[in-house]
Amino acid sequence: MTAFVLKRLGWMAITLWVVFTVSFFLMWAVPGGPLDQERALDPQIEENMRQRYHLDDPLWQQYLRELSSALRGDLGVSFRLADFSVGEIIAQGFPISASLGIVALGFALVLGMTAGIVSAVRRGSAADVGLMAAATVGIALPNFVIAGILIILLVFLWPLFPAAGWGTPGHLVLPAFCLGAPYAAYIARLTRTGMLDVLSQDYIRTAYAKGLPGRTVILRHALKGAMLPVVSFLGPAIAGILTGSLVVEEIFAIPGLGVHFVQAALQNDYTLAMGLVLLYTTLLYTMNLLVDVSYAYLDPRVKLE
Amino acid sequence: MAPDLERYAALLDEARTIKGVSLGQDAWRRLKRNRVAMAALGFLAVLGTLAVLTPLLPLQPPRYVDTARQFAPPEFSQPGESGITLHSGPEARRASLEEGFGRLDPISRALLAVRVAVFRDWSIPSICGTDQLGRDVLSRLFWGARISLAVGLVATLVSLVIGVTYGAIAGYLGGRTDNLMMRIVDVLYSIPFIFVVIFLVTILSAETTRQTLHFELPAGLVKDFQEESVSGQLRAAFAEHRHALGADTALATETPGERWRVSQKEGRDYVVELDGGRLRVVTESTGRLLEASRIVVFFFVIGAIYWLTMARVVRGQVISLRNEQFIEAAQIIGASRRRIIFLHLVPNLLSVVIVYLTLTIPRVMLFEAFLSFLGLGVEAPDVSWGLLANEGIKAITPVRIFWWLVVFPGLALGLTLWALNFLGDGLRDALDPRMKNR
Repeated sequence: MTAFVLKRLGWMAITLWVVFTVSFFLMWAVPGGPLDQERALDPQIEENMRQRYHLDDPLWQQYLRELSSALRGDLGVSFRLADFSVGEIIAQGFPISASLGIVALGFALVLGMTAGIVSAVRRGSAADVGLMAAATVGIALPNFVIAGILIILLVFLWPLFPAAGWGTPGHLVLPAFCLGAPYAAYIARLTRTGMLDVLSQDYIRTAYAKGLPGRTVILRHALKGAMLPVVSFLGPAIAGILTGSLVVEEIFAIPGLGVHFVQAALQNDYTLAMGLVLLYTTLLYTMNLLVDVSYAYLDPRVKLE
Repeated sequence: MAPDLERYAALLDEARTIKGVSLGQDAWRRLKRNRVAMAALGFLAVLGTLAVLTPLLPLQPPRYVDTARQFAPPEFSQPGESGITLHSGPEARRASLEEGFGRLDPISRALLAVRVAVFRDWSIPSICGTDQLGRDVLSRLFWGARISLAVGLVATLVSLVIGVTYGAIAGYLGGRTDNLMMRIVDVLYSIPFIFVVIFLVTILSAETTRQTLHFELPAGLVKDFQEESVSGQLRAAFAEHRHALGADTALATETPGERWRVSQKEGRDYVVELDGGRLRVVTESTGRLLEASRIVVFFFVIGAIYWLTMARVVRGQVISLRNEQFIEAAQIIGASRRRIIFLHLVPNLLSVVIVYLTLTIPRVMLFEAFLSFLGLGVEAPDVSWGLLANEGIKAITPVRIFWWLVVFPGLALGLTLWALNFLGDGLRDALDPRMKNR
């Protein structure tokens, strides 16, 4: 177990290093740096500036310096947002994006698993057909289309929720729903298949035979077995929710990391973009690691190596 | 002896009456029984045909701006405003076509000429409404389909070539090479690629990179100048090269010095200078020609990401095929490694590859829509479905609800992705060898 976690952390370090190195050299390869502005500096001043910021050192020295400061957690200053370091932007945006992501994942799990259980237990009923049709729609529609339709319906035609912004729980409902909906649909399908698989097994018959109430059999015995595909889907789901938050934050004007990342990309804010890519890689890796560990916990047959 | 011969003859006759069923025929038979998959296939076939033949359809020009019809709701009775000038001579007609449709490739231009000849200036009413500039949404959906579908196909094919080659080589060589190649795939897998691509776009679209990329082109614009009156010549040059500069080039407005700025209606600027009596484009923020190639480069990058799963799937399949007799036979008669991989192994992977192909196209299309939605993909004046959805959501206001701007692009995207997903599922079931002859 410990060996497994350590090995995975080692791979994570390698991956981060690869991402950092590739980004660094790409940034370096792009013509034009912070000093190549339209207003040319006096050559002597530019020379001084270059020395000040070590821009005339050999490339490998610059690389090592950047790498060591990144290792110390200093990702540099933003190219475009005055007075902000990358660390400060992350510190501001991360709690917002994280709470949005967690609520979205919660939505996806609760909605998806409930729908999956209901349609598996009432197989062939109108509820089953209806829920699975909804899941199909949810998988096919991109989240920004769902967002647009929901904004028209639930904000303007029937004003239930605020249109955009951040601060109250009401602000969280629509974005989290739009973000979670496609994954809720996938989870519903996975849960349904898993449940149908498990419900036909002998130990379920045994549980019914010894007189357990139906609810206990389904929630205690069947669900645990049916959860496994859902848990292994959580890794991709988390990655997708991280990605989807770019769009959803943009639509609902939520001041999280996604908006910063898109803005950084649009405005060529290299340092911020690179810092965020590193952050997203770390997040994704950690989440996948957690998913794998919990998988081994849920299914005793799985051995972590 | 004679009875035996007769028996063999009878057996042969019987064998002749039995028709062999290839995997392809068998799969097609099973696919035909799957109604949903067939519906999806039919939908995609119709969509694909219509997208290819879009210039032939009597649609309103996708770029024809009519501010009088801003945000007009869907309209069924009144024929659309085509903006095509028919009667003021061929020059005016060409100009009006260029204004409405942008610069087209020769095939589309020919189709468009047929359309003009057949339908004259009649066009379908705006049954999907119009957008904030009074442009017809139906027509923009069709022209957007061309880009969205093309992107999906091109990027998927790129991923296919990379993934199959990589996976087949790793699987066939095996051993340490295989191990190393698959470790690389593992590392790449855990990088959130969408972010990396966006980061790459950041760099590719940096103004300075663009200038170096765009410096030499368009080649047709280098023009000799001998006379003195530059301003008049410039005008003449633009009249001549309007086409290469982009359809909606406005007249050149001189700025002091040796350089001239050329403005276009959609906000694209060129700077032109005289260089030893030749007119040359110095910078262009986004020239049409290069913009197209930028999109191509960009979606090659997308394709280069989605090969990872393909490589894994193909490798697994190759490992199971590697020890089959026909491979051994090929090795014994001295076939080269390359020949075995590409001539004997790859064709056997076809079913896996086809299934995975249909499942990758919707992912790639979704990614394109996603990027265009964020303003990082296809750029105006080109249209794609993601861009249309983005415009629709931007136009949502509490005052009036322009539902058609959100619903129709969403419907187009949703239906296509739905059809591709179902076709992929259906193909997976149909091509499953365990289901053979059932």
